[in-house]
Formats: sequence, C-alpha cells, structure tokens
Amino acid sequence: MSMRVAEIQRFCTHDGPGLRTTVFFKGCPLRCVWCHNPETQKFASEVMFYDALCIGCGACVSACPTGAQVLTQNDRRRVVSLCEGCGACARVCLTEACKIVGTDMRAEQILAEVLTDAAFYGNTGGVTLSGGEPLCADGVIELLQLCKQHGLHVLVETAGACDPDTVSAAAPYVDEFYFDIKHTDAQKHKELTGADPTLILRNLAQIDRLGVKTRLRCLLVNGLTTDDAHFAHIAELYATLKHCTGVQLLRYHPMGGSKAAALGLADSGREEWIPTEAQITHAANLLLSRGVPVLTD
Amino acid sequence: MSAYVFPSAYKGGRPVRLCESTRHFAMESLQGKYGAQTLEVPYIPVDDVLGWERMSDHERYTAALDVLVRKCPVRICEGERVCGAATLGAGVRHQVPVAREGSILWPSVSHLTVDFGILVREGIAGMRARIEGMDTSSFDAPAMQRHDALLRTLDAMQVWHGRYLEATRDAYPHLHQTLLRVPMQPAESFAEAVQSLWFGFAFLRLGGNWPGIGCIDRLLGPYLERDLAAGVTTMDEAREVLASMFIKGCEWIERDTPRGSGDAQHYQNIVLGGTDASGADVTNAVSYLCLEIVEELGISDFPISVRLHDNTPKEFLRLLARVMRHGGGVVAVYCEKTVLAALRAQGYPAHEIYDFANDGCWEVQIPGKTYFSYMPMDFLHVLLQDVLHVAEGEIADFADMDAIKFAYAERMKQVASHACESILDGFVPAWREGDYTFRLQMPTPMIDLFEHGCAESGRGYLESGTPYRVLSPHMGGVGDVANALSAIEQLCFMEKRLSVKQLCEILRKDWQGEEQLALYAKHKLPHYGNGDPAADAHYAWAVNAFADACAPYAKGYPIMFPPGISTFGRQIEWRAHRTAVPHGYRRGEILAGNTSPTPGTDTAGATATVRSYCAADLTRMTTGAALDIKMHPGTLEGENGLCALEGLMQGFCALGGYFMQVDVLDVQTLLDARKHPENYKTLSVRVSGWNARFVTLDDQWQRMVLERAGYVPGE
Repeated sequence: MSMRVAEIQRFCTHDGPGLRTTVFFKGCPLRCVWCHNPETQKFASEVMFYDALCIGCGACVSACPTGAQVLTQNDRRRVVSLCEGCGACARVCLTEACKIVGTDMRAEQILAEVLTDAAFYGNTGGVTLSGGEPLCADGVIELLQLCKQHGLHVLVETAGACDPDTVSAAAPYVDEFYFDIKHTDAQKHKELTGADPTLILRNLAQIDRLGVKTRLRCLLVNGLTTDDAHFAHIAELYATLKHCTGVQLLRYHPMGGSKAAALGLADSGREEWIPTEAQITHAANLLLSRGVPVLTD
Repeated sequence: MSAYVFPSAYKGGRPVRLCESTRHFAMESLQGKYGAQTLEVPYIPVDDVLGWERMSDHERYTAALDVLVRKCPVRICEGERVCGAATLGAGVRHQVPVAREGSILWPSVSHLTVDFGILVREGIAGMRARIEGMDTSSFDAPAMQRHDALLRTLDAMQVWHGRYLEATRDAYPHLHQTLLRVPMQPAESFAEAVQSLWFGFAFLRLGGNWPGIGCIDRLLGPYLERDLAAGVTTMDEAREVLASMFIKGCEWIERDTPRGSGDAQHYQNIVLGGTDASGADVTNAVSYLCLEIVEELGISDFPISVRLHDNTPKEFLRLLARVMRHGGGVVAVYCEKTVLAALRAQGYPAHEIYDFANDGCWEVQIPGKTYFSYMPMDFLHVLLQDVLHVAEGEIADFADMDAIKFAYAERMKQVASHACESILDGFVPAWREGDYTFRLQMPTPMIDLFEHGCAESGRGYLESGTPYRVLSPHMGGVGDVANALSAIEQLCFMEKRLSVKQLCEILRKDWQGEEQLALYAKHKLPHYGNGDPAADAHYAWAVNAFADACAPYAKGYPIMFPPGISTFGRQIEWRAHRTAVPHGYRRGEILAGNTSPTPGTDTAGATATVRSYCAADLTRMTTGAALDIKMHPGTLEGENGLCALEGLMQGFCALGGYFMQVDVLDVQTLLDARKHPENYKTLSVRVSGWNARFVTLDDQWQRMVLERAGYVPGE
C-alpha cells in the first residue's frame, strides 16, 4: 500500500527531540484559516508554481497534457482549474519554478529514506510523521510498525482529526504524540478549521488511556486563538490527561501565505495575526498559574 | 552582568565565568589594541652587527636574534596573568623581524606543531644541559654550526626572559614570582606550565614563526589535576590563567587589517581530547577549560580541533556543541578512528600516532617530529584541460566513462609523479642516485629547539632534522570533479543527448547558446553532496584514483608524500584558469571548497552532505580531507539544537568522516556586517582551515562565506 508524501525533510530540530527526519504526508481533513502548510491540505498531488523562478522557456507548456500552463508574450500563469497535478511540468522545469507536491511511496520506501540518516539520530533523535494529517494516510500503521521494528524513536504530529481505530492501532508504535489543539471552544473550532472538535478530543483521550506520552501544541494566532478562556480550557484539558507532559505554545507566522500563492490560492498570510511577545508571555503565565508545564523546545 | 558582550549567533548569548578585568583584557585584544602596538615596530635593524660579512648564515641568524631580543619592545598588558609578547610587526607578515638596510633577511616557518613540552618539562636550563652534553664528535662543520646556533638561541631566550624579569620586578610581582622559576626551570604547577608554554610560543612568534600548540590538554592536564588535588588552585583560578594565554594569542589582531583572506590565520592550532595508546579517553580538566574559554569569549585565533571517538565523554560533546552553536567556526572535529587508521596505513609507528596534531589547519602530523608542507593542485583543471582539452587544443572524444576515467587516472599519476619528483629534486638533489642527503637550507634554530631530532642530528627543520618529512599532495576541486563526471555520464552516455566532444565544444563557448542545457545540468542531474549514490560513486572513485596516483611516492623516499584534499580558499583564484564545467556552471564562477559540494547543488541538508563525503575511503587521504558545513542559527535553538549538533558529529564519526568544520551563520548578520563593518569588529567566521574576522575578508572572500551560508546573490 502506498502513501502520498509531500516531503521528507532531514536534519529537523523542531519536530521532536534531537535530530530527526520528518515525513510530511499529503492530505488533511481540517482547513485551518492560518494553515502553515497549505500544500499538504489536499490528498491529491498538486503543482506549486513559483513565478519568480520562471525563465519563460516554455518547456512546461509543451509538457502539460491539460493546457494548464499558459505562456504568451504578455501572459505567464498556471490555470489551476485545469491542472491535474500530474507533475509533467515539474519534470521538465529547469529552474524549479514548477514543483510537484505529492509522491506515492510504500512504507518500505519511506522507511529506507528515514534509515539513511540513522547514524545521526543518536539516543534522542528519530523519525517524525507530520503533515497534513499523518494518521489519515493509508498504510501509516504499517510504516509505524516498521519504524519501531528498526528501533527508531517515533513521534507523530497530529491534529487528531482521524479515525479512532487508526489512533488505537497507531498508539503501540508511537513514543510520543504532539497533539495540536486548534481551539477549545467548539463553535470557534468549527469556524476556524471547518470541523467539529468532538472526534479530536475523543482521540486525545484515547491516546491518553492507552498510556502514550503526549504534548499539547497550541498555535497563537493574534485575535483568533489568544483569548484567556481558551487557555483556561487548555489547562482544564491538561488536567484530564495522565500522560501529557505539558503544553507548547507556537507562534503564527505568515509564511504559509506564499506557499498558498504558489498553489494558486489566495495568499492567506496575515501580518496582523502574528502574536506579540506580551501575548505569548501572558498565555504562558496563565497556563503556569494553573499548574500546566509550558514546554519551549 | 558584564560590560562586555562577545558576538554570538545564538540568541541566548554567551555565558559569563571570567572576571570583569579578564573580559576587558579580551575585548581590548580582540579589537586590535595590541596588534596596533605590534605593527608600530615592524622589525629590528641589525646593520650594526660586527663581522657580518664573515659570518655563516647560522651565525648571522643568531647574531641578529641576539640584537632582536635585546631591542624588541617588552609589553606587559594590564590584566594579563602570563607574560611575554611577540611585539614585532614583521612577524605578523610571516617574516623574521630583523633587517639590514631596511630589507628583511629571512622568511619564517609555519604549518607545524612543535613540542612545547620540551620547554615545559626541561626548562631552558635543562635544554641547555641536554644539548651541551650531546656527542657531537661525528658532526661536520655545518652540523656544528647548527649545534652552536641552538645554544645561542637558548642564550637569546634567556636574555629575553631576563628583560621580562626586570620589567615585572616592581610593578607586577605576581608575574615576576612565576618568571623567577620558569621557563628557566621545569614547571611544577599549572600556572608555571602555562607560563612556560606561553613563553616558548611567544618566543617563536617573536622570531616571526607561526607554530601550532597541538594537544594542550595532554601537556597541561596533569599539572592542573595535581594542583587541584593538592588544593593549590581551583578551576576558576585555572580558567583565568588559561584565558590569559588565549587572549594574548590575539595580540596580532590588527585594528585596521588590510583586507584579504582574513587576519586570524597564524596557524596556532590547538587539539583537544582523543585517546591514548591504551584506548583510554584523555579528556581532562584542561580540555573543558579551553572550550569554556572560547565559549565565553568567542576567541577564534586558536582554531580548536577536537578528536572524537566512541567514548568521548557526553559532557564534553555537549560543551563542544554549545561552543559550535555560538558560530565563528571556533571548533572543528576529527573522527579519530579514521585519522589513526590513515596514519597506521602510512606506516607511522603505533606509539607515535596517538600524539597526532596538525599543521595549523587540519593536515595531520606527528607534532614536534615532522617537517610539513603541502602541494595544492587543481584536479578539476586537470580533468577539464589535460583530459578533455576544453580550453585549448584538439578536443578529445571518448566512447564511454571508463575511457575518460582511465585517461584521467593516468594523467593524475603523471601530475602527482611530476610534483613529487620536483620536490625531491629541490630538497634532495642526488636522490636519483640513491644519495638522500638534503640540501642545506636557511637557518631555523628557533624551531629546531622544539623539534625532536634536530639537535641530535645537527640538521635543521628544513634539512631532514626531524624524523618525519612530509610533503602532502593535495587534491583540489574534488566536489566539482565528481559533479563533472556525473554530468558527463548522464548527458553523454545515459541520456545520450550529445557526445563528449560536443559537450566540450559547448563548454569551450562557456555554454553560450546552450543556456537551457546548462540549467538542466545544474538543476536536474545528480550532484555530489546530496547522498545520491550515483554522484557519490564518482567522488569516491576520484578520491581513490588520486590516492593511487600518490601511492608510489607515499613512502620509501626521504620525503613522504601522503595525499590529502583541500582548496582552502583557492577556489577563488583558480576560477581564473578554469573553464565552464559540465555540471552547468560558467567560467569564473566560484566552485566547491575543500571536500564540500559545489555551492548551490547541495539541497538535501547537512546529513546528506556528510553521507556523501563519507562515501569515499577517507583513510586513504592521510593528511586530511575537510568538510565545511554551514548552518543557520535558527536550526540549533534549545536542547534539540544541541542534540542535533551532537547527532551530526556522531553520525560523521560513525560513517567514517575525517575532519568537519561546522559554522553557524546568519546571512542577515553577515550582510549587515558588510554594510557596517565598524559594528562587527570581532565577528568571526570559519574561512577554511582557519578563522577570520568577517570584516577583514575582502569582497570575494566575504561572498564565498555568504554563499556557503545559503545567500543567493540578488535576493
């Protein structure tokens, strides 16, 4: 069974302990308005087009079977509605202006890629499955099993929007989950991500029941996820979990916006969403005052 | 809080352990106060020496040295805890700072690590007694001249020591007290050992020489551990004393350095850690103190190399990662296992190899026992011109890759053979007749005092006085050789887009009219440095072929010719004679340095680069093969960043690396330093085998550092 991988990134130092290889899967059921990785939202392969890198050679126009690439004297664009994400343009593009996102790989292939860096993981590093939503990838359980069989430290970054059976099946092979809590208010969660949080919270509880370590991760988006009530609820949620090590506060950055533009979507990056240092400190203090460890690394 | 802030790429800043007066001393030294003083007196005139015309060269040298030590400025800095200063400006320029009629008389010596332990353990008095007691009955006249020169050089050191005794008598009683014993007598305490070591080091530099110090922890560690056990010093006190030595090592930093390849390159290398012959780790308190000092002060003038092995203490590895994270490229690492295997294969006796240090950059040598130099050769040019005839001559065609590689390997043998035999002709004129007598060379008695074998043999450092004579042929351009071969294989034989002859014709025209093919070669083909087995196989082949080419000369001659890989910064000057290359770059572009990938082609991250580099059998590159890794500070934050650096070093060793220098660079900081150099006087970067203050690099060198840091011109 193959899985669609957006990217395998090496020497990662922000996706779990130590030096890690992070596998980004394609596809996520959520549609967070601030999404940092919009290229991993769709399950299908997609082409990203970076206008600034295009030299106008026209190779992509000849290669494209659907007429999605347009190049005339006054017009250079990609017609997203016509693009089927086959990647023919990316294969002939000489400057990486066209880039395909989404490669089908079997679990053994992904494992082989991960193991090439095994010499560097030491006692702390390993593999991180991320996305997208890794727990929505077909075959992810097989991959997790293989990783564990090879003695890797396995971390899964999830937003929990997935089949509860997958969560239960994955848990025995995972050393730690980094679990995103988008918002604790159900209505706001739905507005901001397009999904109801009930399933997500049930999956979090299930992971905890199965005894796997978790870290809650909260993205601070100024005006959207920075209200005190949200953090008070986070503290309450933390108190219900036996195996949660604490909460990590992440700050919004607008860099997902340029990726959205390359996908032919509206640039969703917004400077005004960047939280202030005072907001971050305030949220951390609020959590600490309620006995919640705030994790920084 | 301290009033002095030393630059760091790590946003958490540097720790403060040293007292404020030591930090003040460091800041003044790093900003060029003492370098400026040094340049005020470039040399000592020796026109008044009587009988000059009748003297032998060695007599002239020691007569000049006698004048030098009597007339050179004596400098004692406020706050210093070790005494002695190399105060003559010509030394900074690699010259013996004496002149007649305004002309400098001799160049000086560098690229070596001497044995300062001789002075620390024996003292001047012990050295004199040993040399005077030698059986010289078999010495000929030149050997006797050298013997006498050693004793007169000791006289000079004693005179210079006397001046510091006098200068410290009233105003600096704490310094005076130590100088009363050392370096005349063997050191008995840690403070005395540091003073004695520094005095010997400063004396050699006073004479213009640029020695390395080598395994300082092995030398000083026992003294410190004895003092700590006896309760006569503390780690804090010891740190202050040792820091003073590091700070004084910056006394050649100039306030207004002429721009070039950087000012901090006097090859004063220090080597830490490693194992002894029993396999035991030798890391000791001094190893930790050295790293703590550079962690705090960011001093890069002693480029430090740490010998890593399977049992390197975790705490030491962690401290090493912390130092690296601050940037400046102050610390590099050896995989000791690879180096020891290389030295064994070269035929060094087992009891010698565990002492290895280097020449000041990374070229491994047995310290205090080795004459060393190297021969840089551009093997990319050899491929492009001698084999493919891209620049001129009739362009050859080749039926397959084997034919190209055969022709290239044969040419490598010719180049290596010619280079080695030319050197032998220069040093050992009758070697072809089996007479291995070395030609007599310029006097080097200062160095000879600290090199085993010179006094015993009556021969100088350059004249086969040392047990080992090494001239290392260095392969330059190996990363580009790999990429060029990879591109030829892909374009001409796998994809069959064009013949080798057609490709070379395009290269001769500098890719003009074939820009798209150039882009294809640059972006779509497998490149060395990405863990790509096909490209890495070409690299491994080239390394092996070069080792094979040097093998006939590696041993068995009066000079050994063990191979190594380097460009240092020569990729800048070499671009003038290089043509366009098959992997898409045009004439004049700066290509790969040392054993690193071609700039812009390594896109798979640091671990992939290390894997590629380790794909060759680096034990065959006896004197070394350096890999440069540049990282952004943002990737190394927090505990994970330290773990990542540790993991990188562990992987480097596990995969059989040789030497790796990691620098942490923020492109924005470097760009700002270009605009406002006045604000970045002490910002250090790793250039190649040495560090330099970024603002002392000229435009081309700064651009090279920037591009290695990921800067894309025009962005």
